[in-house]
Amino acid sequence: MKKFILAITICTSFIGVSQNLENKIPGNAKAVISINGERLLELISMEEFDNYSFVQELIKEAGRSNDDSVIASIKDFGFNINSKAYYFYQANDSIYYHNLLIKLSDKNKFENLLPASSKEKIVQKGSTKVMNQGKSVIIWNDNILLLSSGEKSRNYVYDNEVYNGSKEDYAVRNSENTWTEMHAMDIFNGNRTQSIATNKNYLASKGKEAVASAWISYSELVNAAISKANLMRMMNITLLSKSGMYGIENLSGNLYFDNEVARMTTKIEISPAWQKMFKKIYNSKIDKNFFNYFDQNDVLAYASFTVDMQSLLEEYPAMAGSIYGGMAPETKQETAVAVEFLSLLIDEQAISELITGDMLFILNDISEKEVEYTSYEYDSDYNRKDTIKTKKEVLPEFTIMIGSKKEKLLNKLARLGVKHKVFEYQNANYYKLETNYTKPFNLFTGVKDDIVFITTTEERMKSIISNTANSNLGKHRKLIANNVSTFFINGKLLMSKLPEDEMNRKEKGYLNFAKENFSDAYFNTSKLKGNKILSELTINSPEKQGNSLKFILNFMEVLAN
Amino acid sequence: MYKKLIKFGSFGFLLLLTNCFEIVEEVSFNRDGSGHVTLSLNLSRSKTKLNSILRLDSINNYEVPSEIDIRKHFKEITSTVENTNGISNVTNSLNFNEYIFSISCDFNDVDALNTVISNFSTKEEALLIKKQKHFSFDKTQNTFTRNYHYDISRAFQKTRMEDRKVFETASITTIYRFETPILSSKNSTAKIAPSKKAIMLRVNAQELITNQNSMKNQIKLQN
Repeated sequence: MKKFILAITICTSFIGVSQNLENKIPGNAKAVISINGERLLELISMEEFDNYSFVQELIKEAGRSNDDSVIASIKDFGFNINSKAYYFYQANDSIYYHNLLIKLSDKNKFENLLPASSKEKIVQKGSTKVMNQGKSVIIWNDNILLLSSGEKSRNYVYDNEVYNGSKEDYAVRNSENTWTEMHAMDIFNGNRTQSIATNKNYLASKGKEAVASAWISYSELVNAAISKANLMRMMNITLLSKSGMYGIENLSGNLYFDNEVARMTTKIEISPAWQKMFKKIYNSKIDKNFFNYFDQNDVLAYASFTVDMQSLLEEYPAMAGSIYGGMAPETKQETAVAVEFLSLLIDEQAISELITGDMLFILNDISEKEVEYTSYEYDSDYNRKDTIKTKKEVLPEFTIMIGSKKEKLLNKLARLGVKHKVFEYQNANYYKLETNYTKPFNLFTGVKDDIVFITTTEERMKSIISNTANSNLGKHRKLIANNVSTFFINGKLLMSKLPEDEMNRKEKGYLNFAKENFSDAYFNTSKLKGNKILSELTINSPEKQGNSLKFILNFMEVLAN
Repeated sequence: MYKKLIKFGSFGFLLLLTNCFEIVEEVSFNRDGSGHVTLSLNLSRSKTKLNSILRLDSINNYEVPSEIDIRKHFKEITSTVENTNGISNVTNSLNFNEYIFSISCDFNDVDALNTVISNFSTKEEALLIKKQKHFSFDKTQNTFTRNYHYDISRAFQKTRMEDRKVFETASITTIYRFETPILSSKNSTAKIAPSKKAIMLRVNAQELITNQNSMKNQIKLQN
């Protein structure tokens, strides 16, 4: 049965557009994932898809469960390839449901997939067939299939004092089965007053060209999860529902595969009560001085981050009060006093001058270094003598920049460090950290232009201090300046630097594929725009694989073999 | 003895994380069969990697021991050795800059060394060691024999694929010194010093795993 469910899940990747199916999804669904089979088939043909070894494996598995028919392709599973398929999750106080909704093209082919033992459980109800497998129920007719799997909330069971012994345990399970079937039947027959298709927020979250889309009613889902974890009675759920856990109302995402780019976009919607805080905290722009020390030709990867430290410190007490106060309402007053005290004790402005909230980490290079180690030599009488030998090792070279306006204080600190032998003074306004603390790296540090620099090479430190550092940003200026955070990897370059000697044959295979087919990738997160925070993961690959979906499937194939 | 070391928790762990290690077993014999032994584990070649790894909590599903854990473990090993009959003057050294660890002691006769190994073994293994002694000295024949009951090749087959890289460049060296000159040695790869008073055998882990060579040897001394 597990294999069957897996087969259905994978096959949902190839099911086509249907407004009808979406209409069947109840409006109380907490999460919906849709897969656009039509778009997938534009990117890859059924025949190509069938040829992947993991698909072959799936076809073989499906063939094993029945003797009568030959299954040679995903097409033989009987699902309608040209339609959309949906997964949706429902949760309430008493029961949780996982549901899959798929269009059928040939119900006989689908029925052939079922193992003989399961076929006995099929009950014909009018034009509909029902297979109740206990926790999961499958209902289908000529066109549509619904798989629904239910799990009763233990809280609910305890609350109703049903769960008291083995007899009752049976009663619980039995009612679970009946409920799941009734619930599934209601969905299948469309006995719902409202469908998710009337939810504007859900509809707006879907990307037209997306291969897959996901929408999550986050605050409601968290409440359901808390209830499942039996925390319901300890926490004030109404309060949480109002504000949403960590201020998040809804989450949604879309997955796109274009010719040379695979993209995943996500949207986080912040609840009105939290928008002001988020706006203040994430309103800063990284200090432009950082750009003077960024050379795109000296970068394998980087991560940038900016936050308004003063606002963060000012808003944190309110945020903490809201989170912890909501979680433990009986100590709400104590929490309020504690956070106010915290606010009194810290000087937000002074701290934000020491750490402004701007940060940039750059992986500059991966290079070979000569490293000493102790080995032995023996004299003619085999007396052992310690001897220092050298070998080459690959070490990363990196630079960290941290925004700070307290240059004087930092310099005083560094001099204190010299006194206590943590730093060595290098005579040119920068310091070397004592190697014992930093091995295997050498680390140099200095302050300039309101930035604390920490870097592994003295040359880079010298060029920073002497104003000879190169500034060359290209497309990265916009990426860093316009986002709260950006992660970037120059995959091709990074992989060309990795030492193959340290890898086995398999790892070398992965590396070679990645080197040839992966150019770069980045992930960035925007500031608060209206009530939304947008983020995007982008993976660029050269066109030689056909398109980015094929690139990813081919890579999976390399990993599988 | 070196295999035992691999088994010792934190040290075994350290070995697994290096791609190179060196084990040296040195034994100096007196005429009466007593002597002095030093066992060293040198991970210096992998010190960069170890420096980084020891800052982590876990790697490859292995929990990373702290320096304190390793020191504690070594203390336990030392105390087990100290409490063995026929063993005295136990000393040890732990060098966390170079990752070189060693333990040495005096022994009354080679049987005390066998007892030390048994003390770190399971009951079944202890029985095997009794039958197939790791160290033996036949005074009538004036012959010293180094042996062990482990099937290293088979033990290797049981290790996880990703852990096998460890053994690619590892080596084990044994050095034995005698007061009477050495006449001959059974292991043809062992080298007898020009003075005839010392013999060295160096085996790569790869040769051990593939059964191309062994640490076993029989050394005949002059009467």
